[in-house]
Amino acid sequence: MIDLIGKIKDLKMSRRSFIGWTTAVAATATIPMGRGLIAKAEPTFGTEVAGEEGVWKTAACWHNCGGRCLNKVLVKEGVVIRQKTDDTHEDSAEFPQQRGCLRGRSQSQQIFGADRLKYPMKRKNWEPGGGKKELRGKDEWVRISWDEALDYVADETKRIAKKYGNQSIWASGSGEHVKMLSSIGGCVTDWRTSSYGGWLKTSLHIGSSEGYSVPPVNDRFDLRNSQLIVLWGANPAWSSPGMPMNNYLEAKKAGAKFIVIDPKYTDTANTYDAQWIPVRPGTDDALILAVMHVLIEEDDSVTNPLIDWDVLHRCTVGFDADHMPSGANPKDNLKDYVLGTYDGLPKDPEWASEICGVDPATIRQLARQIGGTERVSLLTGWAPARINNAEGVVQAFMTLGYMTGNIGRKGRMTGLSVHSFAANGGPGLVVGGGAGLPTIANPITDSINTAEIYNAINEGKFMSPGEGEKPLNIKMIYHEFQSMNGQLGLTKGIEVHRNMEFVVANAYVLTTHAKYADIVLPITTQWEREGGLLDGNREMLIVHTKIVEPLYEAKSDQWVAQELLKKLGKDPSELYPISEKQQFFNKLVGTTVITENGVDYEPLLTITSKDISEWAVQGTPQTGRITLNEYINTGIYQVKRSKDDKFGYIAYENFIKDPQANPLTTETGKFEIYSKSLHEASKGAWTEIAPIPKYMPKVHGYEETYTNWEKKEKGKYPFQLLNPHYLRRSHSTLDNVPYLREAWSNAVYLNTDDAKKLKIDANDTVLITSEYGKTLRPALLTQTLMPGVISLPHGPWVSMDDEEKVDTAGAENILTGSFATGLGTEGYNTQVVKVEKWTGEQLVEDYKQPQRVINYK
Amino acid sequence: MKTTVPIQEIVNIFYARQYAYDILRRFFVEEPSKEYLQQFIQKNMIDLFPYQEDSEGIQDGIRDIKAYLSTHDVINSEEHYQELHWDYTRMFIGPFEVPTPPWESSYVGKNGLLFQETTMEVRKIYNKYGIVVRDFNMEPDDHIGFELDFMYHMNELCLKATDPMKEWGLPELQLLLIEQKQFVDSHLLVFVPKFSEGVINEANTKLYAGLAKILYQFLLIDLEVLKELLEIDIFIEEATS
Repeated sequence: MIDLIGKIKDLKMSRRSFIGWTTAVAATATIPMGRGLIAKAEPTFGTEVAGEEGVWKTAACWHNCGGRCLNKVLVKEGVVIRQKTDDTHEDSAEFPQQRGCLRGRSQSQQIFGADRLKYPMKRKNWEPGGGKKELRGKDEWVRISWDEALDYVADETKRIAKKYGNQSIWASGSGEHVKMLSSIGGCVTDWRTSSYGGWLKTSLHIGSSEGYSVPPVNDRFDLRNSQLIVLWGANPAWSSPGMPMNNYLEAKKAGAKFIVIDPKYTDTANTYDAQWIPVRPGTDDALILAVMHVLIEEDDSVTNPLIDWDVLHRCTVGFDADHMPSGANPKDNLKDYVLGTYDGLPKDPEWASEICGVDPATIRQLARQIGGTERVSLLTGWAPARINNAEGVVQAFMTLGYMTGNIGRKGRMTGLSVHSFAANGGPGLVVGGGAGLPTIANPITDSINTAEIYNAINEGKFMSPGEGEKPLNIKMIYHEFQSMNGQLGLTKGIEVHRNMEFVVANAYVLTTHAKYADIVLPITTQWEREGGLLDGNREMLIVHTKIVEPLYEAKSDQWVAQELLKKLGKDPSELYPISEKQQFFNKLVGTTVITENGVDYEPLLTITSKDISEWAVQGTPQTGRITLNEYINTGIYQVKRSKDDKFGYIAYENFIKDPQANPLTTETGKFEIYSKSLHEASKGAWTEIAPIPKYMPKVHGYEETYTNWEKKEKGKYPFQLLNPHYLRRSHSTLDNVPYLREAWSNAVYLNTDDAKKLKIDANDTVLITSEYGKTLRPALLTQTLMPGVISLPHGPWVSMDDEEKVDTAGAENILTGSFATGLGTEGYNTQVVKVEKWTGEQLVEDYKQPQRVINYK
Repeated sequence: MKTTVPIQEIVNIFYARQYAYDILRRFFVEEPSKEYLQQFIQKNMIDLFPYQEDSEGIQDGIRDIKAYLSTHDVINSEEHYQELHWDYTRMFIGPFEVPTPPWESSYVGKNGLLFQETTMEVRKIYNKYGIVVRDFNMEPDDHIGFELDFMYHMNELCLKATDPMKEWGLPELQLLLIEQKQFVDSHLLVFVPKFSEGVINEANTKLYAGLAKILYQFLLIDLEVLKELLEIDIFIEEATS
């Protein structure tokens, strides 16, 4: 290929090249390179460093997926070479391992993916004031230094606060950015019902639990005492990773029968061989009312006792005319509403069937099973009430539990079986300590409901419950979390972002909130931080430590807040008087564990003065159950449970035993089937709500799929759309992870018969249209989804096509509107849409596409 | 019988490599600076790129670069400079899709993850020569720019070793040549064919398309040169008195 000797000879003869090369190299040698290799301080010239043994460390799996599992990584020479999950002890039903799912096990791809945001970057056509704002989301980017980036953010914050006031700055969610802005005059914040749906705002009025404040259901050992477990819109196989599926399985082994009420025949239904009762989204209240109707009609306290009158009379108000709260019209009781005594419309199975799609015979059979079984667990997820006008569903569901006495007793419970408490209620047995950081009040109290925030910003006014409409003038947005993808009305959200004078985002990859920003700041993941505690199910507490040094130029959110405070003329030590390491240490010091008596707590960790000096932190030695090093090395502390231990839990047990001595926090101290406070609160909110759970057609509910309900003529948007949590990601986090993209295609689920009528074959690209936007997805045809309903998984990162008309990622919120109903609920599961075969270019499978598809040219 | 060549003559090869690797490392390690572009253009540095007479591919790359520079004034036109700057950012940094990842890991590792085994292998090799990546762990060690910079550094060591006054020079040179041959063979040329093809297809500027062509062709020749150098017998020519 090359004649080296000849070459050498040529070079020797002609010195032209040689001189040219050496002079050019000499001239450029002084030009610095920003990056490159340098000599080490202590070179180990010519020798290889002996390979060190790998060390298993506990890595954070911190996502908001509903579960919490142990995730371990083998670190060798600073690199993660393998992952595993809990093998700290033998697995058994009593003392189960906390095993990770496909998401946790793919996490290396999240941390070390080539898609990490590596440097601070600036939108090319941005300049103070916004520059070419319309290019947000499609502009080119320029790498900038941290110093430049922080200067830009601080200068724009100052300029905008001076010109329009701090009320013009919206910091989404909560986090270090809100604290930072709070110390320079404050910022507008937001609130939302998110996953909780109607449960969040309704529960305080009626005496139920929204899922957290009171553990809503009994503990897992007691679940085995149930004879019938009704999973009403709960799919733990997808939404409650970790122990819950196994907790239910143990109940099944102990003899429980399962009923699953859901538009979809779920993996959960399949696992437990459940009776499946398909119900239309947003119509569960109609079904519940009809079940009540059957119970009232067929109940006979001697020959056929279906209703627990004792619980109704002692523990609730509003069921019948004799048990109404003072001041209420006796005619407004629930029983007469169900029977149709005064409105002439009995809420019987025939009435309900037309709405909810369950045939009357099945409704009767369901009512008899729930009423006629001694120990029933009536368990729901948040999803059935994550709808518009959700409040009645919450109240009706709880009422069914009170009516049948399935509450506060062994093997009997009614409520949310979700997230950390899924199939395992009760107070935490290991409780982490606090970081020891001061709190700061935000001088600005304006807080906007995210359900309608984009609309509110556009209109320049927002609704403050109880206070009415208030003016709003947002000019700057600061995102610290992935707060854009999951919010209603994304089409409008993009427009709002493009109207801003400034948008800044902290991010570790370029999710939607960062994509539409002007400045993006690269943030470390939990694997690159000091460490922390992660709680989940009540029996354990995970401790995770730093796995690798911060990658690229990534910094923590706290560091960013501190540097911005400096640039804004504030002393960061007021907000952050202690290091992130000290914060981690404080959490460990304050961690407690329940004692054998099942009541008291004691410190978990023994900490010596040697530990304190090794950590280089402030503290005093203490004695606990295990040593600090043991905890860190194991990565988890889990309380050993057994069937008759003292750690069991029965939700509402004391209240049901003696409601006078243990009143609830409601106005009447009882479960409110008739709730005056709910009704009153709704008058200052979005939609007026009746004091009893009356059925109402939901905004964008089933009735809206018709133009003529009486004649059953379908309208422009004939399908109902569901929006389930999905195993490819946790909300929108992890959606760029290749393993997960390949395993879960993010198809839209269509009923096979519906698809046939629309001439859609499997894998065809399908266009889904609502009045708010359009999105594309490949079709997955199945008989496991009821006709008339389509299911579009929650969380993909919006990706608008070149004309910015159609989203190609299946981002569900392109289809939703920016508005709230009732007490302010975000109604993700009530949407009406049109479905058709897409005639344009067919989509390529997500996993075959580059990680983030942006057309640069 | 082995060909024998005096070390004093071999040195020219190392100057050629110094010149080539300096250009390549600078264009691939980061966005080109205006200061460097000024020298590069005013001194017509691309015209002197070594081995062009032996390689149609290198000539082709040079033509691309010259064509680009004849229509783009990256020194005086901010727009043209920004276009070139963005071409680098877009292809090698992001923050969206990185169409032509500049890391060896992306081509050879499992699943295209960074900071994995390949990064560590390369880090170990750098370490052997007392070299580390500045701002450790901020960028994986197997970035194309670093690997080219490593070759540049190794070549500098070769230049030192060719000093006829250094008695350890010859054995040292032998080791350095073996290491470089292995590095080009088992690291650079493992991914540069694909990387180069990607850049040629993706680049919006002919300058980067041209550099990508030159990069691949030059490495092929350099591997041959290293192999040949290991074949011949290098000796120190005694000064005749």
